[in-house]
Amino acid sequence: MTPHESGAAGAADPNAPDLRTVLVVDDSAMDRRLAGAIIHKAEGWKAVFAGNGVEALELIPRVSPDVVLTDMLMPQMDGLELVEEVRAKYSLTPVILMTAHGSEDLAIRALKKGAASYIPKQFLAQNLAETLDQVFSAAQTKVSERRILDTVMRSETQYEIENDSAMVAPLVSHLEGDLSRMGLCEPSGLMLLGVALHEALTNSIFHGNLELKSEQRETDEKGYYRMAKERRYQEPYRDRRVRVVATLTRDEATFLVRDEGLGFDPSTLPDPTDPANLGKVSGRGLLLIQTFMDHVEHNATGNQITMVKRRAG
Amino acid sequence: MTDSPSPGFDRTVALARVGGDEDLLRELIDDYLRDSPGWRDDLRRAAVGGDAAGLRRAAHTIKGAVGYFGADAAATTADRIQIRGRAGDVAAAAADLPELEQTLDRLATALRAFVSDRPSSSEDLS
Repeated sequence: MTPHESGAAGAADPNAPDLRTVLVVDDSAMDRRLAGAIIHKAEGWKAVFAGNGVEALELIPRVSPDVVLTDMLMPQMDGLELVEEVRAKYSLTPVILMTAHGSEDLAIRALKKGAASYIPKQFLAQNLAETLDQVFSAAQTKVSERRILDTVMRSETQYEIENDSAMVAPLVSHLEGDLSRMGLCEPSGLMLLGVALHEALTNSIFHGNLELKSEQRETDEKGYYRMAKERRYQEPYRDRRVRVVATLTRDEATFLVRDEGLGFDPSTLPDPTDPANLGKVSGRGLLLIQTFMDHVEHNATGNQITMVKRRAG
Repeated sequence: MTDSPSPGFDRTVALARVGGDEDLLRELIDDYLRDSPGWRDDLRRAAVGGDAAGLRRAAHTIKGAVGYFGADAAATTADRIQIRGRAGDVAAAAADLPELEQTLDRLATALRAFVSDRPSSSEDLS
């Protein structure tokens, strides 16, 4: 690909500094020449070239670019599609867009899809070197973080929360984050898992610690929540806590949720797999948990639930 | 050069685009003089063949290229052809071709003059 056919000469010289690579993707030879010349002058960078998105995707595994710099409007595969592909396959490789007059809308869509930055073409000479450095250093931070996370083999975290339902959503989203970083769950499965955790935590606050009955919610929802609010500050409910232990390994996540309420006889639980219980408020929570988790178990006193989610695939 | 819009080559704009690197500008001019006849062929062929997408593509390429030289008149006409091509209006797009051809001729003349005027920065003394 013209101009300046790749930077292979530099790599052959053992004394040559270790240059970072930009993959320039543009169907215009003039644009490639300009970008190539600026990159050549910028300290520490070299350029390789592709004429469209398809060629770029073929080149990426061979040249492992540190940054991809792409035009928006190109035949074959345009900049928007390229951003999507790179994000999906090489999530740590940042993509910078070059925009011309008339491609701004497309560029905004590409930024929403995860492009790292953009430069208007007429300011390439002024802004490219600085943008490359910025985007590269931000990406490096992510790479180091990912490397450390890859070394985590097991993590166990204990949480203790008051009977405040406002704490449930933030805790669930925090747990989801840990799970996702550990690579235990796909984004789609994550949402379902979040629903299950949400149910378990809500159960232990309302039914466990605050001793409220689901039947009451079915008949008088307002009264149910009013009573929950009052009991938060009353003896003996107010000193009770919900304890959560999240244990993550490479293969599975275990969530233990324990309340300090009176408990119940787990054998009296309605069969959550019976469709007749689907419509009931009380059966629903446990049904969701049973569906989304790979293993669920209660302790004998009914104030602790253990849920296991195994790595998908 | 101050008439608006400038039909030809705006040296100040062109040098700004390349960060003041005159050698690079010369290389870009060489690229342009080498490739632009092909783009103009593409444009004419698309107009004759009623190929709206081809018109749009060729006009887009030309617009991007002349932008390097501050050739506003050519860029404006190319932009209009591109828009009409995108709208599928081949007749309207083709009607702009003669005007574009004229401005491109003038631009090529100005670019050739620039390149031959000062062949290279080191050979001028003597």
